[in-house]
Amino acid sequence: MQTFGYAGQILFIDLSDRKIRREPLDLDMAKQFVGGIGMSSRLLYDNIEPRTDPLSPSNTLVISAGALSGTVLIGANKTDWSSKSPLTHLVQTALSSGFASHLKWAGYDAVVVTGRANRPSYVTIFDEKVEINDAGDIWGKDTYQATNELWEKYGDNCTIACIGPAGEKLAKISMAYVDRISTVGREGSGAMFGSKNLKALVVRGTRGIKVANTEALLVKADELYKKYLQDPLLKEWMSLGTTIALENYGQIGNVVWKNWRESYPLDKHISRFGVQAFLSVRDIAIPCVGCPLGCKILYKIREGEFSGIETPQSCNVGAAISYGSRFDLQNYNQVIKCHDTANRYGLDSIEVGSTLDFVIDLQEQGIVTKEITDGMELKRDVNTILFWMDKIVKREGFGDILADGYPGLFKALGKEIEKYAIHRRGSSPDFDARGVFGSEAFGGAVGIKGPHCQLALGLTVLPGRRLEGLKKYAQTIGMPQEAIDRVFSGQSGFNAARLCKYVEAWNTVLNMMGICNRPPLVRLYDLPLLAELYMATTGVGLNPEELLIAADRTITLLKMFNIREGANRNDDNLPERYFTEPLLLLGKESWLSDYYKTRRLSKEDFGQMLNDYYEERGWDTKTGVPTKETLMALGLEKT
Amino acid sequence: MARRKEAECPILVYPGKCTGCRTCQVRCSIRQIEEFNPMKSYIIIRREHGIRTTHIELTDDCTWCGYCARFCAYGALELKKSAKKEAM
Repeated sequence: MQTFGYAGQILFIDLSDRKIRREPLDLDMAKQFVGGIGMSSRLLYDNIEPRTDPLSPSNTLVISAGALSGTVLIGANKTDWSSKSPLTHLVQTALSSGFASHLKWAGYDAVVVTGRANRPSYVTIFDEKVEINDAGDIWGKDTYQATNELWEKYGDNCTIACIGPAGEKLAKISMAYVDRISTVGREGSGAMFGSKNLKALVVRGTRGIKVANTEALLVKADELYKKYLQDPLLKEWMSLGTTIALENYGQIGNVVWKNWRESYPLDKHISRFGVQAFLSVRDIAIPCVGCPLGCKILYKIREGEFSGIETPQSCNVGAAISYGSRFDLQNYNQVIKCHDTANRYGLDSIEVGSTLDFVIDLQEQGIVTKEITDGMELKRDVNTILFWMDKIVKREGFGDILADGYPGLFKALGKEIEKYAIHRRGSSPDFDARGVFGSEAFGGAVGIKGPHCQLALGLTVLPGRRLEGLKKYAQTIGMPQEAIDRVFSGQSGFNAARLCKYVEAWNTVLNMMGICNRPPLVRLYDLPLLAELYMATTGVGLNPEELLIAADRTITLLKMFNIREGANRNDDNLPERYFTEPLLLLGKESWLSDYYKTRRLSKEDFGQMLNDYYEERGWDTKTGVPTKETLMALGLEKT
Repeated sequence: MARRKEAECPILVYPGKCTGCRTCQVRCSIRQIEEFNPMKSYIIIRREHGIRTTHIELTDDCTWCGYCARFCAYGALELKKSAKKEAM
């Protein structure tokens, strides 16, 4: 049957018995879950047994392309990667760039990988030809070496997801990397690949996709391109990528060190890792397929320490924060060296930075002695980071403990150290709620994948937005008026917990469509437009309200996945220290407060925020479990 | 078919500016073969090891329509002034 927009098939690969089969895409399912994280949620829930050990052959990897991926729409190039996380034991969903387009051009909307190969393997998907290959030659090699060798073998026109030694050694703070640059982050995706003896997936598609209404789609695509060129911050974004946010992040408590006790001095942060420093090491743009933004770049160290390193980077502000400020590094060259090493090893820089910083803090307080850390005193410097990354991927000595992140440290050093850690379910948050408590930090507390809050990222990432601006934003992301009335009420006139549900819905819709959430790209789209584009691409009619329902269906199904894994209301939380100590932000105490900083928040206040969020979602406020009525309304009653 | 004179090609190519985003390939495929299928487009971009563009080629099938050049955000493809109006 001819399908439009969708490739029309799902590929199932069982690595254990080396069986490959294809199933036609169920268009009813596609209409319910659209694509990306939506399609993944259904396929994951249905293809994994409850309480599966995430490092066992029973874990399932689902890769789903966005519904608009593979077309010419700006930013439509995203891929969802879902499984059960080895780090958090909750759902792991990651949104990478690349991969989706080739996957669809090859003829597949999604891939479901199960089992474990009996020896190191990689999978090639070249249209109908799908093979499980021996990876003996590339096993043990870093992500750059292995990916380059696969490109040499199969041509540079395929897209490759690959793990490094960290994933092979089942480090729970590892990740897979797509085309050496984009991350399948976070929550230990690399270890999940490694547990399957799966070194890489290589895809090239030549079958292409047809869309339902080419003319309508191209008219809209052209309009979007023109609108994109008018973005007032376009030049800055094209030049700086996410470094554009570096100074703001420094002011809101997103650039912290000393185990989240204080913000890093802003002047040092800007002089060492700011715009000028960044531009001195920025070489060329490395855009995703069909993206005119090119926020991903190549770092090139032209002089000084580590001179000669060339290494690609997806989110450059992230490296400056994870390594530069956390470890008081002396210059950008040192940041790049750490980033390059982590990428090659296939490590998660955020977890590496956060957990090492945690251990240093414990050592400074005398809680962890040198005997535990192999006789070494950990310091905030580049050599310490490089030394322990090497130990992690070799799983040598204390590196064996670090390899498993916070859960590994709690297990080895005692549960009592947990009270000093800033984490949720063993993973580090992106944002400190004591700096700004908007939908982002609240999303870190309730998000279905742990504290990594990519689905809750919205306007309240910055503090003190005017209410009028937030109300306008609420309309843009399709909030119904009665929900807007509820969100903009209460003591401070604004409820970040209630807003969070709708920000998550908006980002979920973008994800399902395969649209990147970088600001210049997101600004191009709204719900009615996405509904129109989806119709022109697939011929399937879903109105804006139905798209939001599909998003709620997705989040609720993933919540049910977590509930099935034993998660409950207690797992939706903030780190204990947020309630007992302030963040020293630019020299001033910044306590956990509401978004507008009108009052401090207690645990009881946070509990009320949870109630508000659950109520907004139609989940039981006592347990956090979606109610029967909600499941029925979303068509999930048989779940 | 008589060989075309390359000097008459209305598309100016600046390989040094190409970032390898392959927008041109995707656009070409939908224009020429009515599907999103850049591997079959009439312009070929090669990016070595996922980073540097090493090759830009207009194939023999290229009709010189110039559609690709309209969407190059990086200035690697440009239409000669005389051809701009026609390609719009």
